[in-house]
Amino acid sequence: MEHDFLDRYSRMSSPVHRLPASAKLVAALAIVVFLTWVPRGEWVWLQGAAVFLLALTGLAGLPWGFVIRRLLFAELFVVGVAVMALLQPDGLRLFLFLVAKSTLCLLTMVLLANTTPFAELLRVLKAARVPALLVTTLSLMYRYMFVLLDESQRMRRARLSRTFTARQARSWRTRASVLGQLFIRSGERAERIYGAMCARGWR
Amino acid sequence: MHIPDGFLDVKTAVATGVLGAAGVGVALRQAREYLPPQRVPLLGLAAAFVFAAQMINFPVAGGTSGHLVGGVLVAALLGPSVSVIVIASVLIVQCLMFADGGLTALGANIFNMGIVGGVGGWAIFHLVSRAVGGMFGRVLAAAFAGWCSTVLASVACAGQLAVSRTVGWSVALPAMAGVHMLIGVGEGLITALVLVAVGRARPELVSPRAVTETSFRPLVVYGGLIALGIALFASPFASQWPDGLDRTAEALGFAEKARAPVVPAPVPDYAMPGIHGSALATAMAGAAGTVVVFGLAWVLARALVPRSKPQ
Amino acid sequence: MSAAIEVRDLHFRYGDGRPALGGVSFSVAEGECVGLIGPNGAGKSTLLLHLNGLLPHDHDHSHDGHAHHHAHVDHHHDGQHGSVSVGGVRIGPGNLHEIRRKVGLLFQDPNDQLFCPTVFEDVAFGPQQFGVGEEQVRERVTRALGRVGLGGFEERAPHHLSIGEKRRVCLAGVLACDPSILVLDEPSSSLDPKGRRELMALLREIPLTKLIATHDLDFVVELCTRVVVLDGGAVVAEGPTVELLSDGELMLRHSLERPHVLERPHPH
Repeated sequence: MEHDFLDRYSRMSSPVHRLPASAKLVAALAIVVFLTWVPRGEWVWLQGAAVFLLALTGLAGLPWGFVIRRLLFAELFVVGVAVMALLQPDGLRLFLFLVAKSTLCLLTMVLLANTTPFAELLRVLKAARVPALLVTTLSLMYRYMFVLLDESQRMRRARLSRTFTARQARSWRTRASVLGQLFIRSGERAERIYGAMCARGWR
Repeated sequence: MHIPDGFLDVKTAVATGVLGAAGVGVALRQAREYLPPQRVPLLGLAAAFVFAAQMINFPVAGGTSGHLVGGVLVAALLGPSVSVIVIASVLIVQCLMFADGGLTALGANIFNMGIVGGVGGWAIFHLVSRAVGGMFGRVLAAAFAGWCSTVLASVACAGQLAVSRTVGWSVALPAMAGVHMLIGVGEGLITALVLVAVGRARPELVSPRAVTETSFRPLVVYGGLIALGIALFASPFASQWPDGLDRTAEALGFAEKARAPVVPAPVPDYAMPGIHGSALATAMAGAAGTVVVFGLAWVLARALVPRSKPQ
Repeated sequence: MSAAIEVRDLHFRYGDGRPALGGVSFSVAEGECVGLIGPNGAGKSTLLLHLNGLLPHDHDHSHDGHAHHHAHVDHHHDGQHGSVSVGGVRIGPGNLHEIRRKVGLLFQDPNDQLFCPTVFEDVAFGPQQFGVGEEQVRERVTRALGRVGLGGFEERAPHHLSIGEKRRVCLAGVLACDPSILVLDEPSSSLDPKGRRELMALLREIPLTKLIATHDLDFVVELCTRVVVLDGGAVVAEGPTVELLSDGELMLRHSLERPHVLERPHPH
């Protein structure tokens, strides 16, 4: 599968990986809520949190390059929203504080995501009495999102190999057409999955 | 437009969490009632589809690219409650697997993109497509509603940022709404194009009968949630109103006590005298923009769905 | 003794009215391994879906707008007649659950059948649906994975597996239900030679009654004692594997060809 790089490190072995998923989820929530609470200008709390999180990252054995790349990817959104703070008086200090706080929250979530297989988080949700229909939807989404990503890539390549103009209008229509096909195929696949579920006794 | 952690304060995170959870709860109840059993896997597959669709680049000049959010598209094809569940699922997975969108902001993101954008957008879609009729009407509605959903979601987001005192309302609203009025064009355009593509291959999937959700009583609940959201997050707009959320928060013990204000005292955000003037200007700009976009959507739909020749 | 599978005069029309099966009759004795061969479009997959009760039941499409290439029970039931019996019991709306436990169906695309987030959960799915207790489920999963050579794969995520591994997980998932009959749709498709050989060896070890629909005629020669040839929705020939598959003219007439393996000495 081409896109499994997105889920490569969640099943490694480290003291952090071995913690139970429910504990990690609760801890992540607690850390993020704490960071959210930290009042403006109280940098010392952020610094403490940073040390703690970086230590955890090292302990978890996650490759630093990978962590930085994941952070940078989400950083765009952080900066994009924080930029508005610059438009206010004393904006630069506020901007920096927001970016620092948000980045630490990001690091927390990156840690959670990459030390906990999503399947385990699903089990936590199920145990927490999250409605079954939602858990089933999340499970199936997790199972098939990589499949559909690969399928859309293949369809795009097939289209590209038969397209000779690079005009933008054509390109948007081509991509939309690929999405249309993907939707239809997803619907057909959903029916086959329903058949497979019934075949093994689902009611 | 996934809000990251750290921009919404605790009370806003809790309030949006409740609103988002309530909306998803209503949607799940609807789905259990109206979704035939063979469509249950479709929820998951539609969510996987939206995820894959969001990853596709639609190049815009200058190296940037647009992306589909997909709330209105899913609602048009599968109904509003399915759309809420699908968008919520995508946001949950993105948050927990990719740190895309904050954990404390999950409620807000679900509320903004799923309920305000998804259900609100769907309501607009439904009204316009019923009023205009035919495939032309549906494509027009898809384009317009796609744009509206983006803008509405961004306004809700701006309100939440303002109530959190992260960014003043007078900065947040023009910035968010302004940017998203532009981004929304992409959403509307892509939604319309994909709807046309699906309709070309499988016309029965875009017919009104394809949506099995027939009762719209829950729209009252969704509408109520949106209205509540407006009351909570748009209250800075009507600056005479007390800041209801702050009062509630204080009563329930959520408000942060020892906090430095977002903006130093000389320029308090809500009570800014000029806000009434700029509010009117913003509203007029918004209204004008909406009319223009509706016109563009009309032209687009005409281009995609040619008038059928008379017999 | 009643046959493991008995199909009698089975007719079936697709939702759009096109005939799919026009009077198919054949039987499979207990413990037999029978091959179902024929060109594309002959109706093999449609036939297999009948053996587990997926068609014509359980697909009430009166609500959704999807065009579909499988069943649609119209109100006068003239889309389908004839019968399918398993172990002497005719498949009907009342006994679908029990039939699905007895007849394990392996789909052509393992991606459609392997739908849970982990291997363990997927193999456990069947037993759980059939009411097996938690401890027993665990045992069955371990045993089934061991049988297909995937011991230790419990916590693996499906999107990290190769297609051969996925197919074996699906087989484990079916075996964990403790069926008496295995029905397989193109089990060797997309497998590399090694995967094919391993699957063949695996199937040989499983003593259940087997019906294998496939294009892979060499596979059929190695595993099946008898073949049924399906073309245009009807049985056009049936008999011992080697005899039928050696008949070059018969093969060509139904868009098949003599398998290469028959050029050499073979197990039958």
